[in-house]
Formats: sequence, structure tokens, C-alpha cells
Amino acid sequence: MKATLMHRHHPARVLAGLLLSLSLGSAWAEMVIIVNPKNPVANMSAEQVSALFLGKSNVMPSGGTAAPVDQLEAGPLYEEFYAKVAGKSSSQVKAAWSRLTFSGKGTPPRALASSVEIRKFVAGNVDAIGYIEKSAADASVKVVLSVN
Amino acid sequence: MAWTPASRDGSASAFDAPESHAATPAAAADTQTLWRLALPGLLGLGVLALTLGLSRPAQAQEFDFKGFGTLAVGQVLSGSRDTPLLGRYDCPCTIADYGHGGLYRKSWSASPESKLGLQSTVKFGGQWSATGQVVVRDVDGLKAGLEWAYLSYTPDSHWTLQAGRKRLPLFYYSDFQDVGYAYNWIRPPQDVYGWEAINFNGLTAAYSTQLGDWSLRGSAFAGREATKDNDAAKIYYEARQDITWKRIVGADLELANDWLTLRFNLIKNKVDQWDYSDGTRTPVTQGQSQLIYGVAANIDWEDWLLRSEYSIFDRSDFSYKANGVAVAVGRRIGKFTPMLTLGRYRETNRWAPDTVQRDDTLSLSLRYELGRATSLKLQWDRFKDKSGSALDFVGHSKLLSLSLDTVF
Repeated sequence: MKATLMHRHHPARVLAGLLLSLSLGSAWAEMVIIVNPKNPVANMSAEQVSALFLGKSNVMPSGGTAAPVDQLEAGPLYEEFYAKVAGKSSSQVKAAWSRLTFSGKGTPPRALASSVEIRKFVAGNVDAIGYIEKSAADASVKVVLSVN
Repeated sequence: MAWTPASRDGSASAFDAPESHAATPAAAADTQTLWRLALPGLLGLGVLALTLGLSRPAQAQEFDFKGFGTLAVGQVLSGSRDTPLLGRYDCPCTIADYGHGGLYRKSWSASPESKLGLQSTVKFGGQWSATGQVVVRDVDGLKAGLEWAYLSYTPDSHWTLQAGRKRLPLFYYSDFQDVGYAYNWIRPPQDVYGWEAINFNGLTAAYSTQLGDWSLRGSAFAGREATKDNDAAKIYYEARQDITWKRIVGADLELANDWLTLRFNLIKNKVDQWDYSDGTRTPVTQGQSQLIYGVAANIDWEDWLLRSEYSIFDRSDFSYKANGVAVAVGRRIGKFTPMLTLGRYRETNRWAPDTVQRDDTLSLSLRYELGRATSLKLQWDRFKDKSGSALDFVGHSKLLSLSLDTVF
């Protein structure tokens, strides 16, 4: 159900992973979960990330409040993220959020229109957490989890 | 579900003439219906307008509006009872919604369960918000009910404090029982769900945190709910009943990881009930103690689902105890989710053992994702009435129902 996830951003592993995915001809983009560089969290597990995006928690492992930002549902990464990191289809995600929204326990994360906007948002907000294509990440954000 | 016989005295005769009730002539009934329809809606809008008015334009303000809807139709395929129940429900009949007194009959009907919910939240001051939710139903004539109207304060990422009107979190699905899209059956198993009080006015304090892979959410709440012409009572009494749940004090705890969710709850309150059999408001129960406790366990493992809930209602003042249990097993197959559910409801009553309600339910349901936050469901239910000989109840029945659920 859950894809193999790399927990440490080791250069050799990244290269190996990249070669592997290239050789397998993976149709899905390599994705990274990003936080603000000032966020004390160094890495996160898939469970911790999916808890924030499914409304089970709004606290970072470091204890600070989290401000998750989503990709557009129609976009290419949305389905991949929820399938690989949370193990859920988009209708399951909607049902999970409707439970919380309509019982006053939470609201779904806001969605931004592109990975570039998400990266900018995360770079400008200490509490933010989002997911973008690996290729869209740069030094303005910190990667806490890689998904391939 | 059923009441203790002490509160259901024999005065609720099947031959009560209409004049003996506090009857309203036809014209007044129309005004009354309009008032019942408009008032909760106006109240909800009022709360909204008030909060909009109170918040200053300069402050960061967010307003959102969302909703949910269900179009459900059902038909009783066959049933053992062929006389009307309490002169009110055509039978053969099946109870679909105890809480609102919704029963299906032999002809197709969309009234018992169709509904439209509108909800809006206004955020102000960074940590405050005001939420209102109105649900329009047609179960007992077209009516709008104010389900929620509360203020919420989140001082930090763990605590949430709320004051106002909310749904009473009796069971796992209670909070969002009206949101059909959020679960796989057409309705949560009625052997567990459905009592006289659905909402309450009071205070809630909730705490949520993450412990490793587990998320924890606990809440404590207190309040009361006074109902006039109680809807759930319509299944058991011919005459109007006013029921108040007062001094409600309760707590619940939910633990979840990625495949298992557990919920425990405990509620204590006192019940007052008034009966109108002779046309006047006559107290039949005052301060009856009640203890409700239960557990729910839900599993989502690979494509398999398990939903289970067990609940006990203890009214020991009257030597009455009821327990309801439901277990469902299902599987996700592409866009389809078939489920098999078994439910059981049993009452015991030392003082009047013949009046207890006992039933078994078997349900087969199928959910299909239509996309765009909409689902289609088909469900077949078999209700076996094993109630005591002195309880004039619905009898056996088989129900077929179909629903379209959406959130927006």
C-alpha cells in the first residue's frame, strides 16, 4: 500500500533512487514534502505527514502548529500524494474531510494553483508544509520526506 | 429507542380523539409550520449576521460556506404489520431514523431521509470562529432545524473550546450523521443510533495531540437539550411528548492510526418527560438518571473495512437497560464498496419484561463513487422484530433504499 520512502536525503541514495525510477520508467513524478527552512523538524514519516493532511493532527513533530497547503485536486500530484503517503483515494480523502468539516473538528488545507506557488508559500511561512515535484524544490525550502 | 414502561403509561390510548390534544386548527397549523420552518433558519442567519457585524473590517476575516445533501428514497418490500402504528405510520413499515421519527412504508417515499444541510463559518480575531449549520428535512413536514450555532476558540494547536449548540456526540457517527457522503451505508446502523436527544446546548472542551503514529482526540462536554413534541417519541407514543435531557455531562476519547480507529464515550444525564395524552402537559418522569457508554472500533486495512460499535443505555432508576451493537464488514473494489452489516438491539426491564424492544437487523449495502464528491448507494435491510408481547411495535420488514449523497 505505501510506497518505499526514503527518510534521509542522502546524495548517493537520491542518485540511486533516481536511476532506479528512470530505469523502471515510472509514470509518476518524484515528489518531495517540504517545510520552511526555519522549521526545526529534520525529517518526517509518511504517517506524520498524512496525519496533517487528513486532519488527524495539526501539530508538527517539533510541537509547533502546522499549516498544510494542498495541490489542486485536478492537478497531477494530488492523487499520487494521497495514494502514496496516505494510502487513500481522493474520494476517501473527501469523505474523511467531510466527517471533520461537518462535525466542526477541522477544515481541509487550502490549495494553491501550482508547485511554484506552494514553494513560495512554504518558503514564506514557518508553519507551512506542502508537497511538490522534486524538480520544483530549491534552497528556499527544506525537504523532510521524498516519495518516489 | 424504547422508553421505560413507567414513563409510557397506558393513557396513550389508540382511540385518543384529536380534540383531546392541544390541537391547532388548520390555519394556525400553516402559520405554525411556516414559523417552525423559518425560525431555526433565521436564527442561524442571525448568528451569522451578528458575528459578521461584530467583527471589524480591519481584522483578517474569513467566511466560508459549505453544505451537504442527501436524496434518499425507500420502499418497504414486505412486512408483518398491516395496521397503522399509533395511527400515525402506515405499515408494513421500517424505521430508518429513530432520532427524527422517520419510517418508510410500502409506497416509495423520499421524505424520511432526504435532507439538505448548509453550514457557514466566520473566522475572526485569529483564534475565534462562529459556525452555524441548518438542515432542512421533510420527515415530518418540511422543516429547517438549527443543528449548530456555536462560537469556537482555539488558544493553541491542541485545545478547542466551544460554546453553543452542537450535535450530541453519543456515537461515532453522531457528529456527522446527516452527512451521508461521509460513510458507506445509507444510514448508520439504527440498532445503535437514534435516541430522543440529537443536539444539545452547552460547552465543549476538546484536546488533540499526536503520539508517534497515533492521533488522539479527547473531549468533555456539558449542557442540556429540551425538546417539544419530540420526534423520536412519535414511534412509541401517540400523544405528544416533551423530553428534556438535562445536566448532561460527558466525555469521549478517540485514538487513530492509519488503519485503526477506536472511540470510547461516556455520558451521564437526567431525563424529564411530559405527556399530553389528556391534552395537558403532565409530568411522567422527573430527573430520571441515565448513563450511556460505549465503544467503536473501525478498521481500514488494505481494501477491507470493519465498522463496529457497541453501546449501552442504562436507566437503572427504572431497572431498564438497553444495548445496541452493530458490526459491518466491507471491501473497496474500485469505485464500489459493498458491505454486510449485522445489528442487534436488546432491552431488559425487570419491572415490565413484556414491553421490551428487541430486534435484529441484517443489511446489504453498496456504495458507488460518482466523482465530484457525490456517491450513489443501494441498500437492502431485513428487520426482525422480536419485541415483548406487550409492545405494539413495527413487526418484521424488508426495506429497499437508494440514496444520492453529496458534499459541496
